[in-house]
Amino acid sequence: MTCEKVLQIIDLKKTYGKGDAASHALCGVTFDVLRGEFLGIMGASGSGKSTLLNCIATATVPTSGKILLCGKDISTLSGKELAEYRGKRIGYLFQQFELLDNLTARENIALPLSLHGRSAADANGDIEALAKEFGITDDLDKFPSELSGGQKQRTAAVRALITSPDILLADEPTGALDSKNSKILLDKLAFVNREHGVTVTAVTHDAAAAAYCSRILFIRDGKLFHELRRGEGEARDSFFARITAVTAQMGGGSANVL
Amino acid sequence: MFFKKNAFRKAAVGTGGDNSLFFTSLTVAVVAFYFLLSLGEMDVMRFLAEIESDAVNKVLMLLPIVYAFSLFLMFFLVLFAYKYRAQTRRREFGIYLLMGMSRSRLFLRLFGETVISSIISLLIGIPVSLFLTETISLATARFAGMGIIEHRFAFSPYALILTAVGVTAVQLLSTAATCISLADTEPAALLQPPVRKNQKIPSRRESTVCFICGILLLCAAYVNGLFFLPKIEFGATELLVVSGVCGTFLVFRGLGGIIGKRISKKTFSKTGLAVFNARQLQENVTGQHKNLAIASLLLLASFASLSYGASVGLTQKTEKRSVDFSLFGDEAAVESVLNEPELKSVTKTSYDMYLSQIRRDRIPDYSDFLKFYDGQSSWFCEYVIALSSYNALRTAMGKQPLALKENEAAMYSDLVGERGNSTLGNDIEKVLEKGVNIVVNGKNTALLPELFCDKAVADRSITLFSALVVPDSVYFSLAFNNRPFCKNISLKDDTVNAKGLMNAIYDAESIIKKSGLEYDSYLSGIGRNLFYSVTTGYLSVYIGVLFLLISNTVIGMKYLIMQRESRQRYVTLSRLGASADDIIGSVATQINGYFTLVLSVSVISGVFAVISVFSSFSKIPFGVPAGAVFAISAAAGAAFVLFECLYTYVVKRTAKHEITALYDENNAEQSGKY
Ligand SMILES: Nc1ncnc2c1ncn2[C@@H]1O[C@H](COP(=O)(O)OP(=O)(O)OP(=O)(O)O)[C@@H](O)[C@H]1O
Ligand SMILES: [Mg+2]
Repeated sequence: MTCEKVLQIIDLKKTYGKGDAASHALCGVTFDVLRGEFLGIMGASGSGKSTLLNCIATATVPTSGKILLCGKDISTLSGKELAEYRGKRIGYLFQQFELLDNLTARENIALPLSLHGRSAADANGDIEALAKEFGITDDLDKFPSELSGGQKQRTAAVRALITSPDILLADEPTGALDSKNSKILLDKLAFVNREHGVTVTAVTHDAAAAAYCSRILFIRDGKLFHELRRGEGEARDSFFARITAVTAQMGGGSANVL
Repeated sequence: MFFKKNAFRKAAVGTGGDNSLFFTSLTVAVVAFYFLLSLGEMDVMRFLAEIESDAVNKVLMLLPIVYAFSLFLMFFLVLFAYKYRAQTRRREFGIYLLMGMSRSRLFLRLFGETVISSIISLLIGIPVSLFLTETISLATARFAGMGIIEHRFAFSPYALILTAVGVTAVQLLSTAATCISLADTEPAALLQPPVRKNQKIPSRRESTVCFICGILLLCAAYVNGLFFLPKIEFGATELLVVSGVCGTFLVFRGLGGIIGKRISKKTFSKTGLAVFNARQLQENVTGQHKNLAIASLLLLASFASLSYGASVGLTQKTEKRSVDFSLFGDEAAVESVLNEPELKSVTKTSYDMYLSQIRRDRIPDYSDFLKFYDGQSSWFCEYVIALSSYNALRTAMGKQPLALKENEAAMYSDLVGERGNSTLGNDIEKVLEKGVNIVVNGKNTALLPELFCDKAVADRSITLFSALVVPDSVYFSLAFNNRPFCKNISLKDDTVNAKGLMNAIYDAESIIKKSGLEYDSYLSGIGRNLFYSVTTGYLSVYIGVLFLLISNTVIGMKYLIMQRESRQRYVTLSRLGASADDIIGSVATQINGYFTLVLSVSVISGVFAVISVFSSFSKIPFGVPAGAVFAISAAAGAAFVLFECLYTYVVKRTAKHEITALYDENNAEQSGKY
């Protein structure tokens, strides 16, 4: 499916609870995600990042606003279409991997496929190819308990990408990884983004991880408040420095300086 | 005060989830106890206590042992129910503890709730028990008692109290076990959904070896049961039990690995959740192989007891009623009793029974006049009965009198009529049909081609393995004793119909008793047979049902507990795009697989068990076709399988309920939208 704007978020609001107890997690967020983009979302804890991602992943229903995937409003999806949306159109990478521990890596990867009618045997070539790119070829027949954290997350990434989703959503994908494994994972994600044009939207706390992105949205108290774009040919170090400058200010609370 | 107010509601309805399985299990416990304890009050037992008091008392003395045994088994049933429930409430417990409630307070509260749920289970269970015991009492009175027992509503306070004590004790013990496991869990850990311990999957080699050894041992047990047990060879029983039990354990131990092997081969080319289902099943079987083996053995015991009990209980033939009383003693004394107006008014006929030992010299080939067709075994005859007496008996029964010519005689036996060997009766008839001639008083005499089995006396005062029925003139030349053996009495049909057989005989008996005469009554014959069918049939059915319920609860609860431990997996599946229906389907497949594995092992073993029990310990009564026995046996087996299907359905429903709740919880705010 070719569409320039993979994802359009229009005035998205989300309120948990009612009345006095209401907590406004998202207060009108609008942005687009373009095809082939590696978008980062940063913000302090409790700023609404996960809520935003969950809305896109249909794990949560927004209070108001629209989410369009390739121009189609996802709130109109139901039943089979919804399952297909979750399983095929988007890929989701979780902080805690969420691999099924009684299935081998290969079986985990094949799961979203077989849920949508394609058997593991049939897709084995694709699985092997993608696994090779993520360097887990030797781990395919191991159970998650036999894998390191990094291997688990790379397996989860292969599982998220195996369906060739329109967009890969990642909520703190490196949150449970050490810096070495974080770097490996981000390199791989950057690679598939660059080489295969996979659209990625990643939430992160970590400026080093964010430096891999081509664009970063900063979110605070449920509102977008800043945007950084990586310059054409800009070195990762310099982008990293710009990011830390913003996060330092955010931490200082002087948002209007920006 | 929040806690107090809510305690009752909590105990009664729990917190969400489906509690029907929990309370069903408790109700089952109540019914099982009450049923056992009120056995003495049942119509059949009351009746037997009157006429077979010794034997009944012996059985009733056994009850405390059965009670203790049931208590022990029930403990597991209730324990599983409580474990399951404790798991559904983990979070709640965790929150209480984190809010600062002391553990001792929490435990006290749990015990309080246990008392309440005991009361609830008794409130549900007792009426159910009363209804069931009444129904069963009525039904057995109809069936086993052939309608001779009048029904009496039985309510046993003794049974009630012991049931209440037993059920409460078992529940308190289970709560104690729950508290112990809570005591060493961190409150924070309680807030997390339960996680499965990662279990090592045994190597394929090991599983295959276990599985094959298990199968071999089971086959050894089957062969043993079919061919050696009937001959009661030394050690056969012990060997059978050991190889059967070990075989079952090994099969289940190896099964996990075997399923794993199949996964890589077969399911890999399947779509949907096939791989996931197979892995779940493998994991459940691997993790639970001991429980599954125990459940499978219990199911086997249940299957065997049920089909054995049902077929024995239902096909047990009550001796045909031929004579109501046989009076012995001085002729004048007998006559005076017969003339008692109360007895006379209910007597249909009374006649002398001429029956005596044979004078051997009158029959030259006495020692073996009835050669069996195999030419090796023979049958000889020690008694002789006068035709007129036997015809009086047949007339009283409403049968055609025998017509014997001077040179004819008829074969009689009362051993094959009862629980004797059915093949013997059939063998004799086969020989008779060919035509047998013997020499009596120097004259050639032909035997009728039929074997006569209508008992010549009311009960056991004499047991005739075999006798010759001969015309009266021949009788007096053959008999040692020319005097009648006894006076037989048959009661009027009207009286029997009006009062019921038991009451009619019972009333008449009280008159005879007063006279001090020696007598035999048909009642003791019924008593003995009934006692036999009640003790074997009833108790094996009871034990069968008990085992059935317990093993099912173990499997069902274990499955549901494991499903709870897999919650996180289902959440993940849903995020990967599995719909609620996909997951409900997957759960149903897992439950089917899980039950089928356990059941198939039990049913296969069960069929062999039933066959070998019938071919060794128990003889099929003569006149009851083996086909009928096996048909009833099979029907009981089918009922068993039907019950299993129903139970599986209930477990599936509960599982579905939980999955739906899980979906709602995870998609709390989107219900109605997505
Ligand atoms: N299920 C929920 N019920 C009620 N409030 C919620 C729920 N989930 C999130 N919130 C609230 O919404 C706000 C945004 O939460 P969210 O999880 O999106 O933050 P976040 O940016 O992902 O934080 P973190 O970086 O810590 O993961 C928070 O104030 C949080 O308390
Ligand atoms: Mg978050």
